[in-house]
Amino acid sequence: GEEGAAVPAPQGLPPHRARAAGGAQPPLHHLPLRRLALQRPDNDPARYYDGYNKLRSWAYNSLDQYKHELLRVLYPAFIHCFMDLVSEGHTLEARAFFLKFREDHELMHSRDLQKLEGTLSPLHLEEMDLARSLRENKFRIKLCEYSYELLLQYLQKTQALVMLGIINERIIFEVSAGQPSLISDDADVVALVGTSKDLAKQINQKEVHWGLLEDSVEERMEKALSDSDRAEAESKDADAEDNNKKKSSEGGKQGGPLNKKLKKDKLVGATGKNTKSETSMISAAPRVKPELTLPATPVEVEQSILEDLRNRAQLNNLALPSVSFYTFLNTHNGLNCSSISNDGSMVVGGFSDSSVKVWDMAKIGQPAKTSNSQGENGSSQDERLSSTSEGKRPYTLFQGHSGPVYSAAFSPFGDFLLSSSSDSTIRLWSTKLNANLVCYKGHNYPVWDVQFSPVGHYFASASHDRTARIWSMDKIQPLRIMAGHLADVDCVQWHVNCNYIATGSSDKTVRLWDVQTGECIRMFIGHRSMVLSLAMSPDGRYMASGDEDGTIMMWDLSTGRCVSPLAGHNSCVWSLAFSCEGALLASGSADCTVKLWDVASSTKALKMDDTKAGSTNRLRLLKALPTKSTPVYNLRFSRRNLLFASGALSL
Amino acid sequence: PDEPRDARVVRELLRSMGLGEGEYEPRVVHQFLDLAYRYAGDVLGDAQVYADHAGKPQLDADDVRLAIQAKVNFSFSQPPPREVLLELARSRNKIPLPKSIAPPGSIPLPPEQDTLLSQNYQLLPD
Repeated sequence: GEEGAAVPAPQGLPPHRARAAGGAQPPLHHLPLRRLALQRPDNDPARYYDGYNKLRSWAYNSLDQYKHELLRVLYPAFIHCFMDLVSEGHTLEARAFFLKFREDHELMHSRDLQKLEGTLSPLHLEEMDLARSLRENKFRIKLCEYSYELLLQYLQKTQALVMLGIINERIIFEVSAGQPSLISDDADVVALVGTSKDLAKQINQKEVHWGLLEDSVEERMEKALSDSDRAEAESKDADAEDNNKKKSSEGGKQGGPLNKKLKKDKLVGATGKNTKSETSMISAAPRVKPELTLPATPVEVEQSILEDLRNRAQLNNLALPSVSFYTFLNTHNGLNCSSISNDGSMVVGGFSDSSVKVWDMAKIGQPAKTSNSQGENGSSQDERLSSTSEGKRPYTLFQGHSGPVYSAAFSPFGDFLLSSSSDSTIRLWSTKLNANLVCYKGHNYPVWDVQFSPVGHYFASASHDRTARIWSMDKIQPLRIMAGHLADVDCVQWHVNCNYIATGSSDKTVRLWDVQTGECIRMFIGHRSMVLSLAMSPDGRYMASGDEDGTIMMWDLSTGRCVSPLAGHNSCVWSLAFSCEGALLASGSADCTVKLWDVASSTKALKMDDTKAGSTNRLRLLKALPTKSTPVYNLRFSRRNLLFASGALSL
Repeated sequence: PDEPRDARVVRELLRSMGLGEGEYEPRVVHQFLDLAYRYAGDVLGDAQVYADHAGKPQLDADDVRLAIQAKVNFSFSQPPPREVLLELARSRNKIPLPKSIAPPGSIPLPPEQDTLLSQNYQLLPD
């Protein structure tokens, strides 16, 4: 029981204050907690058990309205009681304590519990990453004012010194006035942050210029089609948020040389008017100057992009995309990753045997070339031999890595391929020359993800060493190192304007980094397990992230808040993709389905309620497309809004 | 069934981590045994080398400890601590981004010695 007799009453507190009652007393949270907690009494392991047991039964017996808020305090208390017991060497009591109380927390924290189960000695605690980070960082818990006062009253009344000590040391409370929050907001309730208070708040107050790149091909085409509509869009821009940069002076210069294009595009004038309403999200987005020196796009490529833009299928919640699914057969659990080029013509697979294989879908199905025209017997023999051996393999094999390949990415125009592997290198391959060009060494640990920037030439990588790095194709040293995550970085994505990079990590957060300075400018907290996939909306304003539990969250980049929590799948979400005009989000998961979500309606609703705090705007599921038994590894919308997907059949 | 004591130990370990009998393939036990034997063999071999080097007639605990420490730096190493990474990032991020870029149409590559395109053989004269 509590050692009430051994410990004197709290010093300096007049007796009438020690009694918990309402009325004329000052609110309890103004009392410094320090005066209530004294040094810990003797070395009795049972005190943890008793203290926690009492706290738990009190929390479970409290009023329903406040109960789920008070229950949030239990998990940090449980974890730290257990670690205290272990570090004091009471192994048996620690095990008993753990086994008795763990089921309350299985639902939300099963992974952490599994890791902590194995710690039996103080040495284990020091070595384990998770234990160290739990010890060093504080839990942040949101409570309403009344729940906080209830908690303080309870702790004071029962003199629960052990619990008080733990709560003091390990938890930071964010007390909000008013009613207790709804259960559905539990997503961002208990979060582990770095030692400085309000770190996330500080970070999320910095400016983010989320607009699109000026002078892009799409922008020029729009200008050529409808100048009057442009003026309308610009007046909309005038009352945009204050953290946006605009460079509309460039627009005037472009008018001249585009007159020729104007004549060609008259045919599309009619469709141009139709596209205006759908692309208004994009044309209304402000323009931003690029911070990196970007490569110029060659003319043929621009022509093909314009062609694609003209033939783009318009998608909305009534017109769903067609899906082309590439299934890998007979991989024997060897396929680690897969990616599809921008126009869908090439598919790459990265395998555990460290090979990278590229299938050219345009050439599959064509008969193998047999060259029997020139040359006499001797030479034609050789030529036939070589053609048959080439004809046997429908793919191009790239060998060079010395470890399983975890990620592969095509350059935006399809001529280069990057692959990253557990041997901590990133290799650049040319699909036209079929050769390994460069090997980039910089990480010392497996590289989980690599992505080309939307304009090519630069790429970003995410690795086990908790950093993401930005590289340029022509330098073997990275340009920028983004350090700050607490656990390894699992996925990385470029923002549409190439000025920002988003990274998702095993520490359950997603961070947005500035390319110019390498600093973290946004931190998105809310996921309950490792973040496996990211996608950026084409208007640059929203970002979607998927995690290992199957939850998909959409974030507003400028405010750092979650737009619509808790949509999802039954299993890991491996890939996310926005459609080209930003109206749909496609998600591919390990539960063998592709799901299509309606983005346009939830963001429209958001724009209307901008002033209301905390919108619980769920993403609406438009369609779920099941496959036979093929987990979906990768999804991509081509420029014409055809959805490509790939996966490995696993029976 | 008849299986060596070590295999039974591995099964117990797996059970203590929460994996019951049918939840893992039989290969897993063999892989763990492989790892355990190889690790122990390497450590003891290294320890023997250290003992010989020190001129001791027999292995003792210090040699084994030294061998384990040497191995830890190569295999079970942890990524560098957060402060080191932040310092590294700070020094790297101070360098300004490059301004010039290759003209379109050419392949942007690092200087030739850093690519993998040069020939990797040498012709020796007779």
